[in-house]
Amino acid sequence: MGLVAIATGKFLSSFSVFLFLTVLLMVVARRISTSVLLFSLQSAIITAEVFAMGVREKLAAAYVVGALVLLIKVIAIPYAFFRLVDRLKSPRDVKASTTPTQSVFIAGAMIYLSYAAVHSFGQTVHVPEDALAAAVALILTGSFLMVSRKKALMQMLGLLVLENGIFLAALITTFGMPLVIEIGIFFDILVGLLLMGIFTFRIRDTFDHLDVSKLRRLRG
Amino acid sequence: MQVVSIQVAFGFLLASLGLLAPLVLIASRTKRARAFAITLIVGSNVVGWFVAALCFWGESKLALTFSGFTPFPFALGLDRLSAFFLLLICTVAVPVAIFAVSYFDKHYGEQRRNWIWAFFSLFLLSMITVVTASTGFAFLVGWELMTLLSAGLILMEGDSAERRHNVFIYLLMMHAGAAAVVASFFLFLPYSHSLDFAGIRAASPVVPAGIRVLIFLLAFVGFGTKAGIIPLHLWLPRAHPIAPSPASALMSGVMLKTAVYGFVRFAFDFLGGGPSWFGYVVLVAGAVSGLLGVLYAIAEHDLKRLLAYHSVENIGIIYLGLGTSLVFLANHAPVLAALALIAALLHTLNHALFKSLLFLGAGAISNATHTVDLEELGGLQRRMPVTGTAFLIACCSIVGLPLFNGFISEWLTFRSFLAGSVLLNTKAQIVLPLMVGVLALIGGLAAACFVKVFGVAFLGRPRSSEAEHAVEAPLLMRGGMTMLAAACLLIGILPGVLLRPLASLTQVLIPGAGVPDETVSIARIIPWIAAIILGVTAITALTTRVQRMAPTWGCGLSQLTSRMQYTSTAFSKPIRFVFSSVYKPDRKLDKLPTDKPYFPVSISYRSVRTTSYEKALYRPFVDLIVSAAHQLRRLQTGNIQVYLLYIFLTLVALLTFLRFQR
Repeated sequence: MGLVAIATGKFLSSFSVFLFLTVLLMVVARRISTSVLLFSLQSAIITAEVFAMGVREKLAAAYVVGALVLLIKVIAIPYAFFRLVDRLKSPRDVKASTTPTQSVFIAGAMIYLSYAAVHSFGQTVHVPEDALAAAVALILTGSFLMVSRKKALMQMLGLLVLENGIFLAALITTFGMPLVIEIGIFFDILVGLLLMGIFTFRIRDTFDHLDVSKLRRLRG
Repeated sequence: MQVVSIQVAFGFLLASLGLLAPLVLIASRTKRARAFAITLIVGSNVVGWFVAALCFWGESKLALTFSGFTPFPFALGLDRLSAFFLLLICTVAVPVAIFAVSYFDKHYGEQRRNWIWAFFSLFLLSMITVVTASTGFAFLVGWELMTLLSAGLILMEGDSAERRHNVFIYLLMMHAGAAAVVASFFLFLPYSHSLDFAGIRAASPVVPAGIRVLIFLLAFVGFGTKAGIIPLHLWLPRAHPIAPSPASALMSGVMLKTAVYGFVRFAFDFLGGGPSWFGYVVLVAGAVSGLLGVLYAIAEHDLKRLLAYHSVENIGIIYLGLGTSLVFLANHAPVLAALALIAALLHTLNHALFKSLLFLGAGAISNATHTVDLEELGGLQRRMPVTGTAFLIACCSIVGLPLFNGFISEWLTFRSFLAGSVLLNTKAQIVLPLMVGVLALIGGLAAACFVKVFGVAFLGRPRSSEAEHAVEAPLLMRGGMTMLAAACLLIGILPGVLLRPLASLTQVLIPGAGVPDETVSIARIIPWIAAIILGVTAITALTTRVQRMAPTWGCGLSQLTSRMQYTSTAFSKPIRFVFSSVYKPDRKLDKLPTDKPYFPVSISYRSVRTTSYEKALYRPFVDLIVSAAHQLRRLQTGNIQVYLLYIFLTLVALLTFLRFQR
């Protein structure tokens, strides 16, 4: 019994390393499909963490949440993305506005910043510092992806990464939120994605491209 | 028993102005419904007048609490000061509403008429809320509504670009002023823990001196913006002339007075006076507003703009009285402080009466001739005798001739200035008697101005065909104006009716003040003088019967035309010449064609008053805001990723801040 608890605790903190890895890979990825795959992987790691949390805290609801994450973020959303990429028939490139080297440096700085920000917080509240840092890093990198990638699809993906970070932070600091709230959040993402998907099609149909940096008519 | 019936009557006033009348007007478009609503508005104001009279002349007090229904404490109440201002509102509202019946009927279509009446009713309610509020929240709600509803009344008349620009300036300055008022209320909050007026009054002694100064200055600026003291008056000559005449009568006659009410409430009731420089600040503001107001008024030939500038002047006179009172209060002379305060409050009421009468007169003129440009009027006295006589009474009142109401309050103001020489303080001994000269100059210039107005508009020959074919105003308009004229005369002849309760009112505001002798003596003398003058006039009228009618001597010319008369501009030329350093006129003379200067085909001359202080005071401020806005605009690129970058950078900055904060 004690062994399981120790194992899950270790798991929760050490799997952050893999999250950092996905983040770093994601900022250098050149293709949309690679990014989607990495996102799916990232979500899978988070699913594992949810299950680990369920084992450690003995929460039945956590398994339901974990199943939902698996279903929606690991399978459904990436699948929808691949279909979207196929249907849109636009070039596969993410159209980064920073070179891969710059991106890695910025992502590294983000990771450093998240450790720095979390450091003092982690000592007062008993949460695994690495996991919390990973959550903040996900939030920051998600925003960075939204800012630096010109493809509308990448903005959606950035938002999802950001959301992953928020989800992870919530999971770690509260040891699992009530099921109702979790379901509400999932519903939120789904509706948001649906809307963004529709808008992506509209952008493509209206402007024949997906480059958001060229959409600058909305100003007073 | 009596208290209950007063409460019911006051509740009726609020309910009919705020709910019943507007609902009837909006719900039903029939003529009968409108007549019912108008009767309700007039009737409820008559009821309100009696409520105010009971609380002003009697000892009755009143409190109504609505705190159960509102998120913040909302309560109304009537003490003597509130009752005085409620009396003022109701006294002016009844004749203005009666006048408005035929004015709105003539000027607006069926659709608009109901809306404008609904606005009218709510505007009255908002002003009543301001003067009867007994919590800060109620006061501020009324204050904001008053601004917005009056702007609504202005926009009812039309929405051309120029009008919108003027309304924009009006709203801008009103909101800046309201911000200062809100701030001065909230500065009390740490000490009083509530915005209840009673709580503020009780907490006021423990407020530290620095905060008191801040509260006073904020209240001075905030209420000064609404009252239109120079240099915060910019909105006034823009907003008042473009409103429908009954609305301008209410705005100039009543709305400005709510600012005086607010200032008296703060300076006397809450703060209980202060160091003597408070008084000097108010005195200087009053003197500058009075002088510049009347000088600008003389240069105008648009009747409504001229009247708007005279509002600035009269607010200046009121502020002179308030400032003197504060100086006396700081020098421990409560009786003299009471005298100056009585003078200021009485002038507030008087100005409400004659200024609304003048604006109604302007409305009647524009109704008959479709213009308020003095240069196109003339000879109206014969064509509109009742309007002319009422207008003349208002002119005599505003320039402070004896037997008219303006005289009483200006006389008392003079007496309080002269009393300044008995103080032991050297500064006060010098400054206060000097103000006698200022007030005398204001009075003289105002007299010149109204000689011009009445002479050009009502006497002589008509200067346009519209003026020639003018007909007397309809019955209800005449009725409204006659009521106000009668009130002006009544106060001018029997001032004691008001002076006695005003003395007891000031005793509440200024502890230790008795009844000033000057108020008693003038109340005693004036009726006798009136009787003597009436007697002499009656005797001379009866004895001299022979009247010889002869044509005006035309200096040998056989034909006199209206072009030979004094124009409004020509009449004011000597004064404008003497005070040319004030006006700094920008003159321009164009002769066409330019290559033959001695054989011009057309000559045009233009003289525009440039107010240098407006540029000097407001320009840098406006430039700063505009350039800052231009700089900020560069943030808005239109690119979604840049917007996202802002969010991202904010996030990073906050996290960095979190790191280094601990």
